[in-house]
Amino acid sequence: MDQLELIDRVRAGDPEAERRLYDANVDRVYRLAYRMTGDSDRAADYTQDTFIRVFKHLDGFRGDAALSTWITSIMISVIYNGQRKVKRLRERETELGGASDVAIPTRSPDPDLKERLASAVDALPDGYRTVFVMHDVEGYTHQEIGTALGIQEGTSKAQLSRARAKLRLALAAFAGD
Amino acid sequence: MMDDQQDEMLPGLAAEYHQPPATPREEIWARIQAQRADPPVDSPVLPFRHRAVGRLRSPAARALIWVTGVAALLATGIGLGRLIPLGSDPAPVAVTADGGATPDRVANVMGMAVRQYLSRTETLLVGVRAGDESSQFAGMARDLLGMTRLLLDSESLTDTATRTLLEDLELLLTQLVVLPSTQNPDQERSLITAGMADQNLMARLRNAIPSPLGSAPAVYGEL
Repeated sequence: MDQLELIDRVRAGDPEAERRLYDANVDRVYRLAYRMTGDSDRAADYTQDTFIRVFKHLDGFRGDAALSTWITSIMISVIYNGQRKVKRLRERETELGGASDVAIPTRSPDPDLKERLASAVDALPDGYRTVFVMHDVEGYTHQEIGTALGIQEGTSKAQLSRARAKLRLALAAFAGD
Repeated sequence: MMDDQQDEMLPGLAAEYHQPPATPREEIWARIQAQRADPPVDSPVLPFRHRAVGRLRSPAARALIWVTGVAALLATGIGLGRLIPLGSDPAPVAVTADGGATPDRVANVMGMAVRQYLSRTETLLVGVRAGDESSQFAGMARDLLGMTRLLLDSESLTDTATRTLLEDLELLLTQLVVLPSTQNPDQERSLITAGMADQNLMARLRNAIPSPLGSAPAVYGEL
């Protein structure tokens, strides 16, 4: 069954086709959701929300992009909305707890290189982090990233370059310790 | 270490960043099936908001958008005019031997940049809530997104509340940039405006806009 046929069958309400579509894409969605959140519960929540919306709005998919890219763009929107809520909750918890620092670094004070890099990735602005994780960690192309995020390929490349520059600084500081 | 070498190293090192476990396929599938069988009741707030948005699409509301934008532009122009010394006019602020990059002046410039940014963002968000065509504001959202990142990158912006607001706006602007290319922009817009309401974003934005007539707030630190 090719992709168009699969989509037609899902649109017609075929439960087997729905499951096929899910199986073909769920790993990719969950992996990126987990990479972006570092939390299995939230990754599962976002994956669930993503597929709910995919099935709900599949009639609106016109095939301008690959189905996987369309699903990725939905997932990014779900993640951004969800992360915003998480951030707001953490801020409230911080206010209630009286802590002075809003940032949430939970890593050890003397991290190794990978830990240092992970902390630096966590600290990237969301746009940079999204592009870095998609490209350098999950292997998306700039074309896929551009389509999924609604930005030009050149913008994706520029954001990746800036993200790497920030990470280089973090690693250079580590090397100098 | 050379940049190129580090760039080659980064993906290898980053491969372990938030290393995902095996996908809990069956668990997620069961939850999807359960939610689709028993979908949550839609909030009654959304339709009401849509009706309110409809009223905002009046000519008066659109005029307000333009007036807000022009006012922001004027405020910036007046502010810049006060800051930039011209010809033999006496300098309006203290001047140091190095040409005048005093903390006060830096704070003034940063305050002005933030004020202009917040005013433009407010203008944009009023248009979003008013239901303007998404293609009309995608370009402006993209510009503001770039400015958001510049401001967030600046060490002069030290106020935590303003930073938090900018981080929220960064995500929102990213969604607006993406909006025209989504398959169902109306649905996306509903989610975006619902998110704005959830976060009380417009009120926070307006509260954060410093008065153009007052002195620069002290929240913007030194370079």
